[in-house]
Amino acid sequence: MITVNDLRFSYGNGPAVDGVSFTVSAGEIFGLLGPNGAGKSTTIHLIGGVLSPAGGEVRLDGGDPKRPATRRRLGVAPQTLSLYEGLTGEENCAFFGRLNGLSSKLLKERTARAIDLAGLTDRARDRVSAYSGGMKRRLNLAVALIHDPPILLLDEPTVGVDPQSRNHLFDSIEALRGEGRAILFTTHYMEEAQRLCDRVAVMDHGKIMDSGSVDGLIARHGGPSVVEVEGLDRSFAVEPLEGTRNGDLCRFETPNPMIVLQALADRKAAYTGLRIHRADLETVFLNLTGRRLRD
Amino acid sequence: MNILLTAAIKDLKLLTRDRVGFFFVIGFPLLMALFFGSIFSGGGGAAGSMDIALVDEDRTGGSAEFAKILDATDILQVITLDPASAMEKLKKGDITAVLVLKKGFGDGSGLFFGSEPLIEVTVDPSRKAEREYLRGILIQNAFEGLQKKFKDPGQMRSMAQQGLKEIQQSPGMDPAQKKIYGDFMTSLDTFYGGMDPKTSGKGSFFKEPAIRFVDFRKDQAGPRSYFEISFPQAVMWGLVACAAAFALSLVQERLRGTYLRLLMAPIGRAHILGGKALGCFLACILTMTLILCVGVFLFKVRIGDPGLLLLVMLCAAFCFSGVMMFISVLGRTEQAVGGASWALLLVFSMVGGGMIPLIIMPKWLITVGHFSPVKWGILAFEGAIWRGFSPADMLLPCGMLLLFGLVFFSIGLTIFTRRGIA
Repeated sequence: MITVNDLRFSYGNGPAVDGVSFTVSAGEIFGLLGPNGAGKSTTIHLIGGVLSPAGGEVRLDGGDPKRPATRRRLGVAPQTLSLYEGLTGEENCAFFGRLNGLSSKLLKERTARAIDLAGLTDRARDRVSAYSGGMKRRLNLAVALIHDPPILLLDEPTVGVDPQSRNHLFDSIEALRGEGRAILFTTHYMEEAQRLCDRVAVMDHGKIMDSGSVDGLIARHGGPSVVEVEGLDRSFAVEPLEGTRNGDLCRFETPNPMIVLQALADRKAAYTGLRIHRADLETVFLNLTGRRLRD
Repeated sequence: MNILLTAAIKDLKLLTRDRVGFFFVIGFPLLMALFFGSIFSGGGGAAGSMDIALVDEDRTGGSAEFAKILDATDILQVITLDPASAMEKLKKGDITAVLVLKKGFGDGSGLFFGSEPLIEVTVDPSRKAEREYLRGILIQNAFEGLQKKFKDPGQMRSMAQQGLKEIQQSPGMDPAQKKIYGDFMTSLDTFYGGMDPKTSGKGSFFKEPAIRFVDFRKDQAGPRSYFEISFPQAVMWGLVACAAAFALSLVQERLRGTYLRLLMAPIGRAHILGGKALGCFLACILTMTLILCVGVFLFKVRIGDPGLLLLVMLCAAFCFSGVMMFISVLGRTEQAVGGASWALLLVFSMVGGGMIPLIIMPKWLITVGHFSPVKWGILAFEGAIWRGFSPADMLLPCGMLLLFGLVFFSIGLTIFTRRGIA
């Protein structure tokens, strides 16, 4: 499991990571969300032992990631495609497998498994330079898994891929969770986080603004849901439900859309159309980090 | 060590699969060696010659003899033309110079002592470099013609008799002076008259000009062909290309994210950089071996001392692995490092004698060349191939290569480590 406790780091122009704490348990996907420059990558570099914290600590299954032996328990799929384009898919897996100390026999077996997981068995001996963006992303994940690590850092693993590859990656990540791995996942795609993550943390200016389950965050920061009803009977009074009428369209803001739906049913109201806009993680994200453009 | 080798083998694989990069490491240096080797060895056909036009205004036996001597040289291709045609050809750039033999040239009396020059040369202004070269050839051949006259007693006797006649007919000359010169000319005539034409000029008095070229070391034959000079230069180009290729690959690792993945792998930074340096070292050794094999087996390059050559190869590979580390931190982008590396390595090659012969450089530039590893590399390779260096002679160039390697590696490593992953 990953334990991050009061982590601090600065590049010299203000804190990049400022008192970040969270844990990721085995069999859990923890999403780290935040706008550009929020401190996500620095946090990942600190967890991977690339940077040394100015304060606080990181523990991977109790070990210090600055020690190579601890990093053996870690698999990383960086946001930038970290592959050697001049090598084949198989050779990339084998190279990183050897660096992780796999013996020749085990290496062959693990390479085949990783390539299979990436759905690249037919193209395993092609150079990576000939792969599509989706194939490279899948291989990027496969390389992270070559040594069968219990902890995974997945930094925006689905950037720039087609829906088929994204779906394949989702299935793979869910399968990895099912195998009991602790997964730290960063993404800019809120629907991905909503689908995959058991818990998420929204980060900005080096701090964690809030964290918890997706539903919990929506409840705390998402604001009311909106029910829009078209062609509603004129005799239906909207005021008691705190609704507004604008021509043919009635709009109800409510923490619980079921209250509005129940009222419509109870009064046997006639209408031609109905839409429910529930608050989602994106709303939470924007509410917590603001709508100002980031560099 | 296993990790270092794994990383090094990966880099060698990448190098050999990048066709353009591989060409610059092996193919380009070989082409340079063949190009310069062929030019200076004359292997590409006849050696270069200078075309000149001769205008004989003198039209005597002497001028014809001089023209024949010039034409017989390997360096000059002489065509005899009238003045207008000769100048037209010069204008068109078909010939390098027009040589006019003035009236009076044939008797030879005014060639060296006269007030008016008897040879007039017009050189193509765009080929000024050849002017002094041509002057040397003309002086040498004029002396040769004069010497022929001295060796011919008949010609000399006729010249003495002509001189005696002129003295006797000279009205204004003092009688006492006339007697002295007359006696001298008569003695000269008697002397040449008693000389056997078959043996004259063979004694010690008429020896050929004493110009003999000797090797600078008696125990060595020197380079047998220019390939023995061009291949050490080619090896340097190979090393330069290796250093540039690996420096670039280090920057690519940093920019493309593989360096980050390596940092998060269960290996130390020393393994990562050590692997890169080992890869570069092995690539340098392979490059040198390949280039030298081509030189030895196809162009008859002789290896004077294989043991010393191996030592030089190890030192040179170490040096350029250090240079690689240094140039990898000369910029933050691939373009910056690519440009900076070739600029630096070109300067190293230029001032180190890898491109331009040191002989044409000013003294201060030759001094600057001491700070180029290419200079020491070429010297060390020549030492092992044809200069006949002893192990003691080899200490300085090999030591300099090791020193350069150490200094460059240390500077590069310090900057690389400070720069972090960005």
